[in-house]
Formats: sequence, structure tokens, C-alpha cells
Amino acid sequence: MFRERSVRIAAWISCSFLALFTVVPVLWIVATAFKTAAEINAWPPTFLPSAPTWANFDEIIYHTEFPRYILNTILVSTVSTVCIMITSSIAGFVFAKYKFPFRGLIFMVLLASATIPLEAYMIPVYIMVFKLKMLNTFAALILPLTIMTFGVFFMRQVIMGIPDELLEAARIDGASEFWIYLRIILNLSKNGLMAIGVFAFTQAWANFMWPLVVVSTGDMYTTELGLAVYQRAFYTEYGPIAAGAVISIVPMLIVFVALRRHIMAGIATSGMKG
Amino acid sequence: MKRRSVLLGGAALALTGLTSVGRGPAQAADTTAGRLSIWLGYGETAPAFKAALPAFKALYPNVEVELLSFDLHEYEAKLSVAVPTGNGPDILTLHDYIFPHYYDGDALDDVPADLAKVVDDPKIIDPVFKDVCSRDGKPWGVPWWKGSRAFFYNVDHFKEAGLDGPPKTLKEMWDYSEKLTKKAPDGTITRAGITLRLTEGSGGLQKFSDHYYASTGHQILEAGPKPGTVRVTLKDKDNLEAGTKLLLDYVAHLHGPKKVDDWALKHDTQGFANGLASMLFREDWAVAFIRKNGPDVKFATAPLPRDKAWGNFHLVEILSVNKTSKMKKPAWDLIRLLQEQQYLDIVLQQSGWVPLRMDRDFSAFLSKNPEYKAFLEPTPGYQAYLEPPNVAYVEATARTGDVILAGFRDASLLDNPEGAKAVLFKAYDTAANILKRSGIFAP
Amino acid sequence: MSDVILPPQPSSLPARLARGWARMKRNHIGFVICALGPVLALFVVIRIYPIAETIRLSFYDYHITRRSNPFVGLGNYAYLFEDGPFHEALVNTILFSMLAVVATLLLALACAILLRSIEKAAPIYELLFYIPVVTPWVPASVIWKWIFDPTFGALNYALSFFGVARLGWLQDPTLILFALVAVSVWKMVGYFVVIFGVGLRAIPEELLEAADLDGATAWRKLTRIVLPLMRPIILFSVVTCTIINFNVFAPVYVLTASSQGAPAYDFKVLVGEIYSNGFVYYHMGYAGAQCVVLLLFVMSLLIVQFLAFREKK
Repeated sequence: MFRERSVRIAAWISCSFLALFTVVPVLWIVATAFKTAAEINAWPPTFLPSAPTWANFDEIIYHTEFPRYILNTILVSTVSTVCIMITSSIAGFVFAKYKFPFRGLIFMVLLASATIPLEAYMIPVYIMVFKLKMLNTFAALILPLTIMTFGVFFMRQVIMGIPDELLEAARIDGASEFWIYLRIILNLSKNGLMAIGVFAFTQAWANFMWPLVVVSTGDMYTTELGLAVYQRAFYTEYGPIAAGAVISIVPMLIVFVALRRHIMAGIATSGMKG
Repeated sequence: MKRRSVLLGGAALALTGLTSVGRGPAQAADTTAGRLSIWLGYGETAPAFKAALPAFKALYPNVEVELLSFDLHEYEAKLSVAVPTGNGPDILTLHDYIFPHYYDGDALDDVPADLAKVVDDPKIIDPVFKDVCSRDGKPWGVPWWKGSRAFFYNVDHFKEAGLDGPPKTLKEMWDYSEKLTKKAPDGTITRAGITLRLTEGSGGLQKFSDHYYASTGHQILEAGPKPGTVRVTLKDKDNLEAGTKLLLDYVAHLHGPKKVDDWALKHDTQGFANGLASMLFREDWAVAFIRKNGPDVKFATAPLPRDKAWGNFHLVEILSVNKTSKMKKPAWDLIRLLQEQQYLDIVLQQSGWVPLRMDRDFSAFLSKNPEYKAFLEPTPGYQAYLEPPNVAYVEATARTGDVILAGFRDASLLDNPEGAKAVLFKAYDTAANILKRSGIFAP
Repeated sequence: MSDVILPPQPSSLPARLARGWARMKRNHIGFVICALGPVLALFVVIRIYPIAETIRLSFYDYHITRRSNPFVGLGNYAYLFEDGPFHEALVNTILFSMLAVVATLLLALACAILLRSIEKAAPIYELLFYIPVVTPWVPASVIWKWIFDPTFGALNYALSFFGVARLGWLQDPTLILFALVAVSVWKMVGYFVVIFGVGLRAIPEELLEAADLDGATAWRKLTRIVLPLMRPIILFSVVTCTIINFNVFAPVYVLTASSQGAPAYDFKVLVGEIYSNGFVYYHMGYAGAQCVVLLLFVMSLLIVQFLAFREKK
């Protein structure tokens, strides 16, 4: 995009600084996972563990059912991600490319529904899930995570950039609207879709309040719930929590790398040419 | 994996438990089947339940016990959604201050006669703790353990300052704190003489209230004449005077030449465990925390300092059974089991919270853990008091605390009795408005 | 185009229906209904209905644990005017959001654009920027408390080289605002780098190559080609970043609400107040009224943002 030497130098320097800012605290968490409780609370704080220990990892792996929690979370996050990729892309497509009555109003209502956090309207959802006899099921865990307003909005913005001529050309060739969605839109908005996938997975993984209220047995726990065990009434055992965080960051980064691998510069461009 | 370790540990305990079966609820194995669920806001008390499981399993071989623990605030949120819709756990572990919500919401099962008798017996449960879980004399739960505050002091710091024991009065406390404070040449405090509670409304108000009680013999919020109502004592003539003096003492020791504590210091139990403070007021759990996180700190505990009055605030955890439970009988039987010495010992050992049964003996524990002296040893004349049971407790203390804590930050209150009085008036109005809004204000 | 332009006709009912049918067919209403219908149904069930219910309950003195929940009309709304902590939260949230939105988006946009000039390293940088997004708040809070600690914190240590005296980043009512902005930028910047990355990759390389041939400077390419083409993605980012930051709660909670360590100033924010009223103080109806304020406030901001970004035709 920019090949100027000065821009490239500026890029290396500023991005490296930002990377330091984002990564150093996380490395500190990783180091914390290997410290004893006394060292974590020691003052002044240390960066590297003075006597590295696996005790925190032992604690969460052998004294909780952490592997089970991870599997549960992977299940919930994966299903949620697939649902959100489908619902976001199709709704984004419709909002971007079709005219229909109340389009602007409906879109604004969807957006408005994202301005209030789930905690605030959780109880009516809970009562509904209860009446459907779905409490303490994976279906209940996933239900609020099947849609994402930002996903619809983002896909709308991305798909708006796809030229109408491509759609018209396909229609002249006799393509159905659904075929256009599957073959043209999904293909040309792949970058955006993968990004939404990453966000959906992250959001589902970090979800806390909803699992807290709908789950009532240990075998349905997600990792975030499992780690909350170490928050006592008046203090927190940070060692096991840091160890759990280190373990649970890994799957998310794998998903990030896996989905981002599909994103290449110029896909949209070449698509437009074709 | 958790389950396996519980079972293994359980097998060992079952053997030792056999000897005491005679004292337990003597029933033949029951055929009830299903799941008994227990949620805890105090995860540190889970080991007591786990230890009692084998004995419980002997009574109910077909009942699966599900024990989940949560962060306290999250637990309270989860409970408030689940119980009213009939999805709550079978055993409710309730704090005295959320108890009224569940009592008023008609969510609690009747306490069986034998347990009610235990709760009613002043030789077994101090009536102060019975009252908090009762309405019209009828108990709705079994008080399980109490948390209370004690005075913690760093023995080495005291020696170094030439002080040979904990302060007995509030005045001594302030004097000692001045002697114990360490300052850098430029005047910044490097070690607090006393770590005061300077943040978080309700926590801040509670600690201020300890001193307010000592100065006045009253709590800031006291039970009104009608059950469930509350009156605010801040404006009563003697209290206003003593309260103003107390607030001025706080301000004087947070600003100006007599400063003994600073917002920019590591605070509270952690500050104390790091040796950055010489005196602290905290609950039972702090003993284990300081031992674990500040292994080099030598400390002891003592009753809170006195002034006009001498007493100590308590919080209480109550065991109740959910009215919508399908497992009421097993639930009450598990609660009965938990009353046994060996499981109460585990509560004390694992969490530091002190079981309320006065007919049980914890002297062996105390002799091994002398730091618990102030929590376990009865002190004649030292009053135990609790929050007045009411539905607005958390809100009223949090918001009133905000007003008092803002006062601590205000350096213009130095030697300014009128200003301090204005803060107390504002605190009074804040508390009164909240109580009025909930319809429980007593003038 | 397959549709026919209908000649003017007398507006008899069948004719009008026919015209309407033709228009619907032209606009693919059938597909719109089939495609959007299920998604909208989901929105209604898990978002719009529960929010509407929350708003309905804001006219009651409601809490789920109570047996009687009397209707209080506008009582909860009237209380909004006398609720000091709520006003404090409103002001704090607005200040925080303004700073956080501007800081996050400028930083993310700049880095996303710069990354396009070092395309080979971009995936690694994007990964590094994204790590905080996936890092749970609770362990992160310990680290940030260490960084901001007045006595031994990394930040004050670094500042001491410039002769800055001990600052209570989390203790001072003003400084805590900046500390929270820094933490929220740390958490969210990677998210927006990815978003802007998607938008930037959609810009046809040919346009920039043509500009290079014309001898355009980097700045000119940026302002004349890149930013205008990024308009939809920038609008998206401004809107979502505003919503996210008006919903701020987690960083405030983990950095301030602790009974341990250095005491932090109790920085009130809207969602914190909503949560406290709903789940801690047992005033769910009142929390609903606060939600309505949040909704109206953010929506009016969003409408202004949409108008500002409207394509000028």
C-alpha cells in the first residue's frame, strides 16, 4: 500500500512500541502463573519468578475439572462462532444490498439493542430459557450467542463495498439470490467474515455472567466459571487464575491464527475483477 | 478428577467418621434418589461439605451431591435469579444481610423442630445470632459460622517502637499509630502506623463504624422499633459529638503533620502482610492470608480498642433449605451432619471462620494457632453486635460510606468541626433517603 | 434488468396489488423475508423482547426476589434526577468514552495503515496486538495494579527518570480516568487493528499504484484514497467503539473494586450503577430506568455519527 521508506521505518518503530504495550502485561501474567502465592503478593513485585513452580497448573488441572471446562467452552464457542458467521453475513448482506420497508428503522433497532449490556436484561431471558426447560443445557449457553449486532453491522459495511454490478450480472445469468449469497457474497466478504469469526469465538470464550446464571452443575462449567472458584469472598488466588488464563488464551490464539490465515490482501480486489 | 480425589479423601474420612456415627442422625439408609445441590459464596468452606459427604452418602446412597462455589457477589446475583424462579440450590448458605430478601420472598423451608430447638438454646447459639435469622421468634435457618473483626498488630514494629502491647483505647490507637509511622526525609510515608480503610463505600463504613461504636456505644444503622426497620443514629446528640470527633481524628491522621496513612500506600491486609503497615482491622480470614502471603511478618491479634463502649461487629453465615427443594429431608440431614465437631473443625481450620456452636470445643485449634486468640477466646464485657436485618443494608452502607470516605479525602476538614458535622449530616440524609425508599426508615 | 416499467394506470385495487407485487419481486422481498426473518426472530427473542420487558419493569418497584412489585409510574425516572451517584457515573462515562474512543481508534487506524507497508510482518503484529483482547480481566487486573502502583509501580518508576514525583494513578479521582483509558486501549486496540485491516485490504491495490505513477505523496494517498474508501469501516468502528466504551464496567471493576492492595478511587460508571442497582441493591426496576437513559444517550450519539458519515450525493 505504502512503499515509501520513511513510512516503512515509521511502521516498524510504532508497531513495535504498540506490541510492547500489548504484550508485556500478558508476558507478566504468564510469568505470574509460575510464581508462588507469597511471591505474587510480595512487595515490590517481581517480573520473572524467582523459583518457578508448576503448582498453579497442578492446582487447576488436578483440583478442578479444567480439561472438561475447556472442552465445554470449545463446544459453546465453536457453535456460537458458526451461528454468528451465518446470521451476521446473511443479515449484513440483506441490509447492504436490498431495499425493503423500514430497513433503516429495523437496522437502528438492532443497533439500539446492542447499547445495553446483557446483564441488564438477563432476567427475562433467563425466565424464558427456564420456561423452555432449557436451564443448564448447552442450548441455553449458546442461545444468546447466536447473533451479534456488531457482526451484522460489520458485514453490512463490508458487503456495501462489493459492487452491485457483480450481483446484477449474476442475476442476468439466472442466479438465485441465495446462490449469490453463497457464491459471490461469502467469497468476496471472506476477510470480514473471518474477522467476525475471531471476535465471535473470543466473545463466547470470555462470556461470564450468562453461564453463571444458567449453569447449575459442575459438568456444564466453562473455563471462566471454573476460574472464578479462586475468587474468595475477600481475596483472590491469582496464581491458579493466571495459570488458567495462560491455558485458555492458547485456543483463542489458535483460532485467531487459523481464521486469519485465510485473510490475504487483495482477495476482494481480484474477486471484483472476476 | 475432582470427583476422584474427593472420593479417596472421603474413604479415609468415612473410616474415622465411623466412630462418631452414634452422635449423628441415626437413620437407616434412605432410598431417596436424585441430586442435592449446594452453592457457596464462601468457597473456603467447601471442604467441610466435602468431608461430610461420606457420612451423608451412608444415609442417602442414591443422592448425588453437587457442590459449587462462586465469588461472593456473583453468588448473590446467581441466587437472586435462581431462587425466585424455583431453580435455586437445595441448601441455601445465606449471609445475614441478604437473609431478609429470602425471608421476605418466602423462599425458606421451616426449620425442623430438633434444629430449631438447637438454635433457640442460648447455651448452644448466642441469642444475638439466633435473632438475625428469626422472625417473631421463629428461626428460618441454622446460624453456621461467624466472622468478626479483630485488631492485628505487627509484633516487630511494636517492639521497635518500644510499645509492649496492643492499644487498649481509641486514643492509644491514634497515639501508637503516630509512633509507628515511618516517613522518608521528604515527608512521604513509607510505612503506615495503621492501615485505615479508605475506599469502597460499604467496607469503609464498616471499619469507621467499629470506631463509631467504640466512641458512642451505637451502630450507625440500628434496628428500629418495628422488625425490619432501621434508624440512623448519626444525628443523636451525644453520637453527633462523638462522631464528629472521630471524623476529625481520621482527617487529622490522613492530612497534615500527624499523618499516619496515605492513599498511595499498599493497603489493607496485603499492605500489612507486606510489612507496610503496623496495625490493621480485619476479619478471621486475614490470619491465613497473612501467614501465606507475608510469611516473615510476625503478628498477633487482640480485641478492638475501646472508648465509651467495647464491642465487635459480626457477620454470620446461615444454613437454610430452599422452600422449593425436592430434597428437603436430605438437605436438613446434611445440615445436621455439619453441626458435628469434626466438620466444624474443618470450617475453622480451612477458612478461619469461627463456628457458632458454643457446645463444641475448639481449644485444641486455638492452642496450635494462637493468632486466632482474638476471634476464639471469649472476652468478658466485649459486646457482639450485628447489622440490623433489613433489605436495604448493602445499599445504605455503600452510599453512606461513600459520603464518609469523601470526608476522609477532604483536607479542609482539618480542625473544622462544623465541616465534619456537615459531612455527618449528609451521611445521615443519604442513609435516611435510602431507607425511606425501601419503606423501612424509622425516625 | 428484467423488470418492466409499468405505464400509469387507474389505481383500482387489483392494479395496485399487481404493481405492489411487481415492486416486491423486483426488490426480492421473498428472499429478504426468508433470509432476514429467522435472524430477526432470534433478535426479537433474545434481545428485543427482554429489553422491552426490562423497560416495562422500569415502571414498577420491581425485584425478582420480592413477592409484591407495585406499579410506580414514572417514580423510578423521577429518582434519576436526585440520584447523585448516577449523575457522577453519567459524567464519568461520557468523559471516559470520549477519551477511550478517540485514543483507541486513532492508534488502531494508524497502526493498521502502517502495517500495510510491512505486509510480511503484519500477521505477527496483528497477533501480538490481539493478545490482550483474549486475555481474561482478572489476572490482567493484578498486572495493571502493579504497573499503576504509586510506590513500586512500573509506570511511576519510568516517570521518575523524568523527575516526576509519586503519583497515585488509581487513587487520584482525575488520574484514574487516564489509567482506565490506558487499560481499555490496551484491551481493545487489537480488535480495531483487525477491523481496519479488513477494510484496508479491500482497497484495490491498482488505485494506489496509479497514484504512485502520478507521483502522489504518502499523505496524499492516505487522505485522497485510503480514508475515503475506509468510510464505511470507520463508521462501523466509531459506532462500535462508542457502544463498547459506554458499556465500560469490567476494567473499572477489576482495577478499583478490590478489598486488597492499594486503595483505588471508586470511579462510578453507568453500567456499574445498573449492575449494582439490579443485583446488589435489589432495585431492578430502577436499574431498568437507568438502562433507558443509557439507550437514549448512546442512540442519539450513534444517530449523529451516522449523519456525520452519510455519503454526500
